[in-house]
Amino acid sequence: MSPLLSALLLSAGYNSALVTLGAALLGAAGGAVGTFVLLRRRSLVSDAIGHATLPGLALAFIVMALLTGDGRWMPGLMLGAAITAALGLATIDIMTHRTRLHEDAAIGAVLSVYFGAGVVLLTVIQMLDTGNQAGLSTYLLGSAAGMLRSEALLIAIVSGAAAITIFALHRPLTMLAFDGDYAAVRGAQVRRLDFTLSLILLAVVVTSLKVVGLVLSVAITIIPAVAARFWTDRVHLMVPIAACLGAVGAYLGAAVSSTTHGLPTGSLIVLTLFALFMLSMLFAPGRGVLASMVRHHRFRLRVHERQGLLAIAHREPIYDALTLRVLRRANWMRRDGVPTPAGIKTARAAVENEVLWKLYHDLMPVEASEMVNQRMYPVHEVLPPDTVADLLRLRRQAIAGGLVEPAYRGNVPRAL
Amino acid sequence: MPYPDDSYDLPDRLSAATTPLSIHGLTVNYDNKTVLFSVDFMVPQGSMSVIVGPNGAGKSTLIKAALEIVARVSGQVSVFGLNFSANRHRVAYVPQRASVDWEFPATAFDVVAMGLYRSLNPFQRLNAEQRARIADCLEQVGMKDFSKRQIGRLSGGQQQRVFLARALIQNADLYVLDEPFAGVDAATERALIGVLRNVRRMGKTVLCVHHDLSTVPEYFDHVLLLNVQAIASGPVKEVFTSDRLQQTYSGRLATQQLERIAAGIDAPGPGLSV
Repeated sequence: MSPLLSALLLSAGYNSALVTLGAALLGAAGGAVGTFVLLRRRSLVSDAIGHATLPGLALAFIVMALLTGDGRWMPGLMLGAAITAALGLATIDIMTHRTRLHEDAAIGAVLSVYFGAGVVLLTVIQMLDTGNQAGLSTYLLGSAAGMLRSEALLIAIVSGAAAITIFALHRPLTMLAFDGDYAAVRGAQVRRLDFTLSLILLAVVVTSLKVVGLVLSVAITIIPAVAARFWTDRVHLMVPIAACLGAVGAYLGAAVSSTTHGLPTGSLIVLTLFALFMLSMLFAPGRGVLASMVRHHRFRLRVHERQGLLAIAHREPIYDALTLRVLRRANWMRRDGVPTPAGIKTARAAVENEVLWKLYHDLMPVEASEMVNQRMYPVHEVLPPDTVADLLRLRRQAIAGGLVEPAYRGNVPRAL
Repeated sequence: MPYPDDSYDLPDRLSAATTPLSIHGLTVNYDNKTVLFSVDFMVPQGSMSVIVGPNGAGKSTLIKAALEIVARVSGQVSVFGLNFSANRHRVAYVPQRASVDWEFPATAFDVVAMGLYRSLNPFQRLNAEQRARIADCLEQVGMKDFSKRQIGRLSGGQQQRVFLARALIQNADLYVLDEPFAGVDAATERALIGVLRNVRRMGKTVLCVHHDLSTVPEYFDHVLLLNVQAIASGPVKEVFTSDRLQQTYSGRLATQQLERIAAGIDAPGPGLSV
């Protein structure tokens, strides 16, 4: 079996299977928390968190190297990373709430300053002649290869806990992301929820450092969520979809990188996630590019169909080739241009619908202008029943008053 | 701060417990600007109450301060005789439509389901009875056939209907609506007011922020005229007069407008054929 296949099938040894599964769980947690971070419009915060881990990482390394001679103990590095990342978060929070600066400015400032401080500390470490410095560089771009069993376990545990917390809080978080004021009125603890969301995000980012690396850690919280948005219009489906996409991306990236030493795991995970994102963007039904092209085309045909039917009803000649093709394909018009009985019947319905839409425009100008692209559909499919009843009543009044000719009576109606 | 305080005697306490919303000396600042100053207002039980005033008068702020969304500098608010937080389950809030991101991944069904927030624990799924209630509330506002539609694909009036359905499902005693008729056509406005009248018929209380003076006498029976301070409050028939309105709008209303409004109090205008 090729090394790649055995890595994918988790048969390349217990250790690498554990690493791959840990990465998958991490990806799932990133997708789940990322969904709410995205909907709360705080995606860039996770980039700031990722970069703000560097000084903590470096300081923890220095302290541990000086104390024990080896600075690579992962829980210690994670703790250090978490501390400065939390400081970075607090800095963003203070800058946004206590000054007139917007959050994007605060994020930019925190990201660059903390990362810069971290780079300075890295050069300090290079001058230290101790501590197994090579271990630290893997935290920049991530490396699944050669990961310890205990490290993989730690990643899996933190990720699992984060995913479960997100699941437990999905209702209040959804409400908060949709409308913070409403959530507050309903008794949701808005500040506490935001804080919890930040905390989970922080945990996921810090946990992802070993696998994804701090520079690219932002990807596992943003890309799966953005990709999932293409597949659904509902939050409670978006969360599991993002989790699955994140898990698959991280799983594949980690498995591939474990086959060859020196392949940067983080980059591979990001590229895999990006491929999944592209697939989603292109092929997701409903919101994908292809689907909207199909929808656009169908709408165009529908417009032609409507114009053709109105022309039949008004006994006007039809010249447009596409319109003729649409009408013939539906068996509403014979090859010689004479409408069929079915065509005449449908044309009457189209006139009727057109009249009702016109009345809708008179009755409710504001909403009608918002619904203008729905005009090709029967009113009762897109308007509430009481509005439809109003329109029908107006129509009856108009007919009774002799203002409109009834479209139903007689043969094909003349102009309305 | 507990309210009513100890100086109130018993009958007052009882009446306080039945008063849906009572506000005393409410003051709110944004930065260094006083948005509301020492406002007193009481919403009677079973009333259709309305807050009117010019732009920037603090109408929405008053509601938000009463519902503890906005911090207040001073003043007491009691909801059915208690702090809002003790009685929040009895209040249904309909925010301004513009305050929400309508691209949000949610269907009309999902938005109404938010109204059930307090009756669901974290891992519970909606049961059949709750789904039926959501469908029923959507039907009451004429949106039953649109439950699967993403909210951004609805018209403004339809979105407002969905918001109202989310309030209905709470089965609250006080309905607080912030500009429910903004950006909505007259026909939808009538449908919405019809639903609110049904709510009132069941003994509930309605409080709206509203910007269209001409429909105030037709829709509401209790009014607060607000312009940072409370200009006047009481039954529409007594309080909603042209000189008080002129005072509220600092003389910026045209005379014809006032005449039309004054005429509306005696004879409800046409268009009330619901």
